[in-house]
Amino acid sequence: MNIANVIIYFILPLLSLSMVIIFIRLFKGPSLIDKVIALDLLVIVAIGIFSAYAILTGNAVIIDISLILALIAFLSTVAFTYYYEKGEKQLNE
Amino acid sequence: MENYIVLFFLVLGTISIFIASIGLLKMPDVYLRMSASTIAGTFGVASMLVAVAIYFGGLSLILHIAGVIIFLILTVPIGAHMLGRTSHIIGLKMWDKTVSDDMKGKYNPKTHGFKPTKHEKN
Repeated sequence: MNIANVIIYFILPLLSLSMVIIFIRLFKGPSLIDKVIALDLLVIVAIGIFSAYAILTGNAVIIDISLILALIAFLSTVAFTYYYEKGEKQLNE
Repeated sequence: MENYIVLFFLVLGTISIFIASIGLLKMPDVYLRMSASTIAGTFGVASMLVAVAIYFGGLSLILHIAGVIIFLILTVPIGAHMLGRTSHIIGLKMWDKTVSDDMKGKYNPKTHGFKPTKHEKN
């Protein structure tokens, strides 16, 4: 039960599979909101892959990326929904 | 011993993220999809970051990871709330087996603001 073996043979394949599943929803999604949710979850899976990769390589600097990615995901979600709602409001008037 | 704790948190987070992605694919409704992906995804990534903190140690890295986790716990529900509000206002349909809808009729569809209640009218 080595950590590197578990990461290589179990954790990274499962995270990659979940990324593929999220991409299916991203291309298929019936409404635009579904695509935004899929993009949001995609960033979270990316942070998970970064943390697994940091343990695999023994390099803790990779964790710095996760803070910036979380910030970008939050800002893009809020900005997108805010302006989408505003656009619908202008269409109604 | 420490390795087993790290492995436990890593595997827990991975399985949780995988369940979140399956829920995103298979749920029948925008709101259910959002709920599944938000809750399970946040828990999974927080668990994986805790595994990194136990593996490396060190005060600066632990503070950094605590900052990331607190930021995620604060911001992911805000994003989910805005997504749900927007999708209800623009009129996305719910699943046909949904029991109750508390927000129905409380918003003005033109101005997107609250409708005045009876108390405010008088």
